[in-house]
Parts: sequence; structure tokens; C-alpha cells
Amino acid sequence: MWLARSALALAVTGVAAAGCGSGGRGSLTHDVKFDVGGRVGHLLHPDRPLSGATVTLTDVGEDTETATTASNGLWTEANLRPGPYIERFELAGYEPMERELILAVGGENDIENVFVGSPDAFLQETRLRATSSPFGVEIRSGETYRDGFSGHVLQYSVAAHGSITLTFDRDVIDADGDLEDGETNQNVGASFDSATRTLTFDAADIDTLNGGGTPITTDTDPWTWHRIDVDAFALTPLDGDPEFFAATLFFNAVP
Amino acid sequence: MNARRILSSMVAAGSLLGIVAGCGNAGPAPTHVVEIDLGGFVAWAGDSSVGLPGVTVTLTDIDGDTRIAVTNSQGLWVLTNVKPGAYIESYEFTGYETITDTFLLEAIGENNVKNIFVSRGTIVMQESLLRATVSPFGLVLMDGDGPIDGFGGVVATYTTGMNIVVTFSRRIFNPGGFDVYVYDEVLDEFALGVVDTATETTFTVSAADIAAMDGGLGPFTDTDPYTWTLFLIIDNVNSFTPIHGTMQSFDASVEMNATP
Repeated sequence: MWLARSALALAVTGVAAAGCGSGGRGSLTHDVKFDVGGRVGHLLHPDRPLSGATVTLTDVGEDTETATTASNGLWTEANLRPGPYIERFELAGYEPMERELILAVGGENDIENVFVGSPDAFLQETRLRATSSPFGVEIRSGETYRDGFSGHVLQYSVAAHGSITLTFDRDVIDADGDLEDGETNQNVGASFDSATRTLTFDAADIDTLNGGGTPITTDTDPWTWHRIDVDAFALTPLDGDPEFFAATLFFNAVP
Repeated sequence: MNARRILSSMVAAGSLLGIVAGCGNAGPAPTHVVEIDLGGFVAWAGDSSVGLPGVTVTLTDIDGDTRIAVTNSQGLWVLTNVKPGAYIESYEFTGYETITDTFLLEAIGENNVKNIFVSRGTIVMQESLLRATVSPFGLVLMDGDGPIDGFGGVVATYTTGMNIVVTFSRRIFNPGGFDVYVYDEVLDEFALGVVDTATETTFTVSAADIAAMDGGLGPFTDTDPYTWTLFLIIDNVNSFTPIHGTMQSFDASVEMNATP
């Protein structure tokens, strides 16, 4: 992605330079503004344009310019000043996407209608998510959540909390989970209820995880985590594309 | 990271080309002073789409005068009306490694653009790296370091009675066991470091354990500064970065001389 961004900045400069030779010497300078545009498509079906997507460019002063993609997925915005921008692409049913766009200019320019192309943006359908209880952390595929880091709190109380559940935000064909005691390496599986879209590590299993009525190991050391791995398989809501979900949670347990 | 920096410089160079590549077929003309706006995007190295707000961007000129910008909520920054010249640019943010580089803001050739803007591209910052301070030598090690006694200003000469203490900049862990030890290459013997379990930041290789080498005769010693026979080895040490919890591994060594 970074290479594409750099290439874009270079291209912009090239446009500005391309005007040399056709006009008089630049004893008078003038401001340059840019028209910018591009195309928004579907991540898994790149030839398919996405119409109606909102493209928002936000400058360093947090002023915004907004465009909407046409039926062929194309968009343009006019009269942008040079500088760094955040490009945000949004469309209902798809994950929003952000990236930076830097409009650079220097040298000679005698083109009145400067136009710069923004690289194609590809949006993917809204990803499957799960809400974890009792942690209250929203779980996304491909992510690792560790108690105590990145603002995450994943603490399990043997006395106060019962089952650990992960509830998906839409229908899931199948889901599986494994909970491992980080101290003893003993583990338990989860059961999946497709009706409620919920994966459950049963409280009774957690309470006897280490055999002989011994529950999951508890301590007050924040750096000795237990681990939950979750896998699921679903179809995307609009196109029915296969979607695989995998995430890992590292949590602490207290008495 | 280096590649990114190089490409970033290429972006700047591209801007310069825009200025240089101007027309060469016209007669003399009045010159004019150029001032340049510049800016870019600062992101977290773990996810370059995540802008870092609050990063201080400083340009320092040859006289020590500075221009400062702070990234906005999305990681963007701009400095306006900067004069061409040689600068040191730095990117500083609490909890992240500072980035410092040379930046030559050049202006040459033809120009008729009033609102010149030079892109500094995307700068990615990584969280603070794990460091280890080695006492009594006063060495600060980073992952992959291997200082040698007598070179680069390093003084790491072991004399009898020294404890060697390795203190990490934050808590470390390794489920498989830590490996911090002193190794005598001539004797092929080890003295293991003992971790302070209360903090898990400090290892001590005791003078007594080092003296116990060779049946109590201690490590091999000589007065030749070119025979490094005693090594401090740091191996299999891991830590988590404080903010994002990214795991960092750490391996380093120190080649020491041992004198009687």
C-alpha cells in the first residue's frame, strides 16, 4: 500500500512538471489546485464496481470534501489544495476503508485542469464479528486480544463469572473454540448453538478444567494468560462469499 | 523501514525534479524567493493504515532553529512556508522509537507554482524497543547487538569479583526459560544468570558463580586485548510492547576480555 501511495505522490509531481516549456518564464507564480478521482470496486470481485459509495477527503485542518461513486464506480472531487489528506470510502454493507493521499506540487505548471488519479479502492463486505462475555470485547477475525494491552480488559472471575460466550452478529454455519489453561496446558472445547449464534465454554467445564474439581488456574500476575482460540465459517450477507473467522483471546483469571 | 525512508526521499526528490525539470528554452528572467509547504502522514508500524495523532514533527536547520508540527487526529501534519535548506527532521511520540533523518529541502531551476507542496510520504513508527543495560560496563544493548571490548568505545573487561547485572527496560518473559549467562570459550564453561522474579527485569551473573569456573580457579584470563574469551550471552528473551502488546524477541552478546 505504501508503494502505491508514494507512486501517487510522484505522479502528482509529474503532472505539475509536465507544463514546462510551453509558457513564458515563471516570473509570476500561481496557485495550483487538483481534481482527484478514481474507482471503487468489490474486493473479492474486482471487476464489479460499487456505486453509491461515499468518498470523503479530509485535510490536515479536518475540513472535508465528499463525493459519491457513480454506477460505474467512478468518483471525482474538484479543486483540492496540495497537501496530505485521508481518503475514506464508505458504503452500507461494506467495511469502511481509509488511506492517505498526498497531493504534492512544485516546479512548472501551466495546466488549468490538473487531474490526479487515486488508486482503485476495493471494499469488502462487512466482516463477521463476535461479542465476548464476560469480557465485553468485540472480536474481529484475524485479531489477537490480550488482557492489559491495546486498551483491552479480559479478566475472568471464577467466583463471579460463569460461562464464557462469544455471540456472532449474524448467522454462522459452524464455529469451534478451544480454551487452554496457560499454566497447566489443560483445555476444554466449546459448544455452538446455531440458533443463538453463540459459542459457549460452559462454566462447569471451566470449574473442573484441571481435573478433580480444580478450576482454571487463577493468580494476580497480569502476564500469565489463558488462551481462547475461535474459528468460524459463514457466508457474507450480500454475495454469499465464503468467510472464515479466526481470532485469539488471551485472558487472565482471578479467584 | 529503510526502504520506506528511501522511497520517501524519492518522493521529495520527485518534487525537486518538478522544480528542476522546468523550461530551459527561455531567456533570463527575474528570480523569486521560494517557500515550501510540506507534510505527510505518520502511522503505527504494526498497521500502516492507523494514523498516530500527537506525533511531534520537528525540522531543525543549520542554525538550530526549529519548525514544529503535531500530527492531527488522523496522523496528518503540515508545515508551511519553510525555506529551502538542509534540515534534520525528527518524529517523536511517547512510547515509540524516535525517528531522525536528514532532509534536504531543495529548490532549483524553474518554478511558477505559488503553493508548492512537498510530500514527506508516510512515516511509520514502531513502539519502544526493548533495551538491556549491562553493569558494570555501562553498555546499553538492543536486539542483535554484539559489542566487543576495545572497539567502538566499548570497555568490557572483566576482573575478578565483578557481578554482571543485565537490566531490561521492561518486564520480560519466556515460557521456555531465560538464557542469560557468561560463557568462557577456553574452558567451555558457563555461569548462569539468576532472574529477579519480583520484577522479571534484572538478571545477575554473580561473581561467585563466575569465580567457580575451572574448579574454583575462575575464568581464563590474560592481558592480550585481542583474545576475547569471555562472553555475556543474552538469548531467548521476549517481551511485549507496552501499548499494543506486540511480542519482541531479544538476543545479544558482549565479547569481553578477562584480566587477572
